[in-house]
Amino acid sequence: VIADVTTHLPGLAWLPDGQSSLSGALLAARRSLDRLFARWGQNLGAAEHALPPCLAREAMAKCGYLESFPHLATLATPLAGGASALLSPAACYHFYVQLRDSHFDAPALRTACATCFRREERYEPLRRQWAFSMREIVCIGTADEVREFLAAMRARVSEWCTAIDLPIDWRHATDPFFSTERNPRYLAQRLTPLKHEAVFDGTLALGSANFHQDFFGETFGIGRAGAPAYSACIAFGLERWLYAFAARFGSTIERWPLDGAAQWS
Amino acid sequence: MSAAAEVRATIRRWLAAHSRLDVPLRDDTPILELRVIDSLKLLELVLLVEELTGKPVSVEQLVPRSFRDVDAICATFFGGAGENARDR
Repeated sequence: VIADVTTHLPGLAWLPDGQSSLSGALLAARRSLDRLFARWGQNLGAAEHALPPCLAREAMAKCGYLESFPHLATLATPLAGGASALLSPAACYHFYVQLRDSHFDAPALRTACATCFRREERYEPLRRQWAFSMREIVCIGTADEVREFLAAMRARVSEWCTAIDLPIDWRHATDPFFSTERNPRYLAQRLTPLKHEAVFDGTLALGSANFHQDFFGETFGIGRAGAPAYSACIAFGLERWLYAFAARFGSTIERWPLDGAAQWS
Repeated sequence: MSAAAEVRATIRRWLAAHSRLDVPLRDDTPILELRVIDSLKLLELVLLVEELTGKPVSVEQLVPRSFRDVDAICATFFGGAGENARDR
């Protein structure tokens, strides 16, 4: 039995309810990773955003989130009364909601890092948390623009992982729907290569590349070139990258290959 | 017409009737990639295949190419491609 790599990882405080608190070199490493991924987006023209923590229930019902993923959702509810809202399950939803009824004359790119919340049956430090940090880069455009964006981002991730000797495999994946039985969206993900995950060590998805076709364009009235916009996002689960780095490069964080990250930006 | 050819013709007619695109469809037109049908219609197509085979489709055993185009559907669920089978 191999001891979990997080047991003696300096700077990690684990809360068994599924949250972690980071400090020191580990926190610096998360920031370095986040800056690197953000720059990959900024280099393609993505504007950096600071997002609010909550999404309106109405919007998340409209795009089918509450129906497809009720088991993952966490609500923020004012005890004094008033409407509850959904704590972000992913950063990118904010962009589709905020861009409702917009039309673009050029591809629109956005990036943000958000604290995201997903309920799970069990939690593991850095690998599977109720609250975690997600850096996302989103592209809204024509089908071709969005495909080109995803291909470029996936290539960037692969090149960097090869350069630092962190082995990952891109794998076709599906989202964890509450019910997969006769669920059209699950079926579409099974049959169309819409979602790919960058998997470390055969088990841990460090990130995902998601092609939404024109689903959000149609749902929220976002247009590009006179038609419902296509969209895609690439998402990085930052704590999972820390786990992978600890597993691959050891618990001496100063030795992690992050110094050279600037040349990859 | 052979049974396989009838199946192929039925699937072609169904797709032509439900296509979102204003272009003629071929048996190798990638129906999901080109969004010929959306995900709700895809579910209906699965039901049509179940009706034609008389057997439930096991979604967990489907792979991305299972419903790529008419040729793939015929090959996956009807054990052959019918009278218009082509070598690739």
